[in-house]
Amino acid sequence: MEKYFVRRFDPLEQNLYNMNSNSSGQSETVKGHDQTAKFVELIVKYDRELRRYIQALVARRDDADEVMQQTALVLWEKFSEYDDSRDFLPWAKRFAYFEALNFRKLHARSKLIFNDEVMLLIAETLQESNERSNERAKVMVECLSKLSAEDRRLLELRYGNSKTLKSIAQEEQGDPKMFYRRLEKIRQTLLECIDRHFQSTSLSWD
Amino acid sequence: MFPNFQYRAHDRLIRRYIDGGFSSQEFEAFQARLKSDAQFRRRYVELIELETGLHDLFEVVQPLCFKGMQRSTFFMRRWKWGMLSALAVCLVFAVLLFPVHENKIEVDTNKFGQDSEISHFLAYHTPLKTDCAVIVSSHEVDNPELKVGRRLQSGLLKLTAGRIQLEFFCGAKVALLAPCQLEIHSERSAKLLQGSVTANLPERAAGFVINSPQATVLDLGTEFNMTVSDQGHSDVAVVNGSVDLSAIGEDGNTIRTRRLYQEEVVRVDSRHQISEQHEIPSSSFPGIETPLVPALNVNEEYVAAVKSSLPDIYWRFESTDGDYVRNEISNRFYGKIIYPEFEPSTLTISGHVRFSKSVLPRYIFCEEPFENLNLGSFSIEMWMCPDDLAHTTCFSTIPTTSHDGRQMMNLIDVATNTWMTHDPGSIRFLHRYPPHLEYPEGYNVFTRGVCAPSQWQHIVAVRSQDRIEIFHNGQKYGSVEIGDQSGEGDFRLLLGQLNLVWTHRQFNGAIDEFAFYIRALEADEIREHYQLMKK
Repeated sequence: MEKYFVRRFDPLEQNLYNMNSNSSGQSETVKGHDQTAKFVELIVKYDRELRRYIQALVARRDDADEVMQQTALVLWEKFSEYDDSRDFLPWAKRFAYFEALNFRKLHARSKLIFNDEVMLLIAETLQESNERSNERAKVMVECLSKLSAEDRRLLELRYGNSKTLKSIAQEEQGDPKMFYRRLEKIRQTLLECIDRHFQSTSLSWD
Repeated sequence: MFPNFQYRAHDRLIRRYIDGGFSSQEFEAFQARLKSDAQFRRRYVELIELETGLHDLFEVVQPLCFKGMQRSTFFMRRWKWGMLSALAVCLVFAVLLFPVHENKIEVDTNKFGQDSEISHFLAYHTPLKTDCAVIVSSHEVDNPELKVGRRLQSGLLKLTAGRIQLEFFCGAKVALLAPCQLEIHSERSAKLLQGSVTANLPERAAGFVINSPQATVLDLGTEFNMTVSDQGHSDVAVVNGSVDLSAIGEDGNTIRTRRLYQEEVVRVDSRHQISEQHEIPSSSFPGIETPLVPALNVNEEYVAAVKSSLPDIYWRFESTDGDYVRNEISNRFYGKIIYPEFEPSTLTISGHVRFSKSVLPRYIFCEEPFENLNLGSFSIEMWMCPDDLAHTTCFSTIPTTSHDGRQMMNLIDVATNTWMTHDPGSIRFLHRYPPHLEYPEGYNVFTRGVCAPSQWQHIVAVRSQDRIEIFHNGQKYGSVEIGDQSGEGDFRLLLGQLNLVWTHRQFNGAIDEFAFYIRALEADEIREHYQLMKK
């Protein structure tokens, strides 16, 4: 599964290294280099799953980024308690869940974020859909290849640099509403392509 | 499971929440639905997965440090570092730790090279193509540059005499009548500065936009006319379908919008007012020409030259033999004609074979297989006249082992807007062995963007012992080494669509003088054939 994704190299990793080496000016003494490397390896490996989990809880990408940063920091602080005979991801998700709750408390007035009960239900749904979601991600890559070059370019503009539709429209000298409609159509096309695959897996693309 | 339309409504709603477009009331209702409806919750999770998947795929690998330092507010809060010290520390440790990160990135980059799916991703990042449209017809034009087949890039097109018709690479057909000035922005947008145009937009061109100084017309899959007058107004008439019209303000933004339907005619004036017009504006609109297949004047010398090259199949389409196309070379390898009974016009034979789109399969199929075709060389030669440059397949080889008729070893495509990297309107020859639906691997060779709609062109694809080659009008455009891709298996030939089942890439246009050789044609032979036809 991993091979289908170009995992983002998050600057967070760099910060973690810096923190490790500088929070008390004791490079390689607070936590050993091996442990740092192990932590970075794990956080990189599970970055995608963790982000997906967090974004389902807080929905917006910017918010998810912020919660992810907080989560990574807490994970780093707690990493000495991590039992490496157990899976990292469930352990990390617990902290991510609490960080999402904290985020809601901090921003409940300014942002539309789910209440505790709905967050818990979503977390359970995510747990149930885990296996299928990996398969869906794989199919998404196939479906993307069926889009026109122009449609993929729009997706790249929107998702590649997390640009707003307004700024894309300005660059492309177009109407933001038109771009939104097109983006809507493309995302729906992708979604239906993925749905179709699960309805009838015998089809394939050339 | 929800019905499809209900899914779509849910999907729109969920995306609007993800995009941040909710009011508080909407959010409360949305949250209540998530709480009470497990199916809705699952759909929400699926849409979130799609969003995160797209971010993961398209987000560019970030350079280190600076962006992270600015974004990571937690870092600043907890450690209370000043920006300067943070920046300095980051720089120092970026240097110290560089090898670690460099290795990480190298690992990812190596994956790109090894993995075909990731290679697709990389292809999206290739420089953008600049060709936007091609001239498909030209009448009484005084500028010799504006000839049929000429590719147009973004820029100003001035037509001082006559009439031309363009095909944009998104599929939009636009006719211009002089005097006319059209500023081409991309394959999906243009701005009319002066004169009249008519735009005809098939489904794949939906979303095509024509601007004028006063208005923007967003097509919804239709045909419309637009005229920009010297008096400072724009007239828009919808021939069929519907369009979204915007009146544009001084700042270039939409002031007013209106959806126009068939036969509506409106004027947008310099004060951004939209008013009904009861009659078609006085200036005459250029009409969209229906593609016609021009005559291909096949001379005896050409026919003799092809025959002397010893093809195994030579289908000339002069007449039919019952349900079959006759082979001029022998009594073997006839082509079986397949078309829907109630749509006989989707495949007609009269000196050439003419294919039109259908929802059902229609093709010419050589039932007798070529034994162990891929153990040696072979060549395909034909004259082709496509109606448009949409991505379509005109030829393929189907293995006899394909029980459902969907696998193929070779294809010849008109290639525009595919997921691969090539010029729009190029010709593609694919060799994939063993044939497989999941396309684990395949080799392609493309011409440059030379294909012109409604023009006969000579196409030759050659599979020699260790390479594939493609020729257009006698000229070799590509040659790709494929190594040892040979293997056993019997194959049948198909003309007119991708395989025996799928209809989504049906070739639309005419084919003539189809020849198939169990050997590699030489470049000189190919050039001679082309030149003989042009005599």
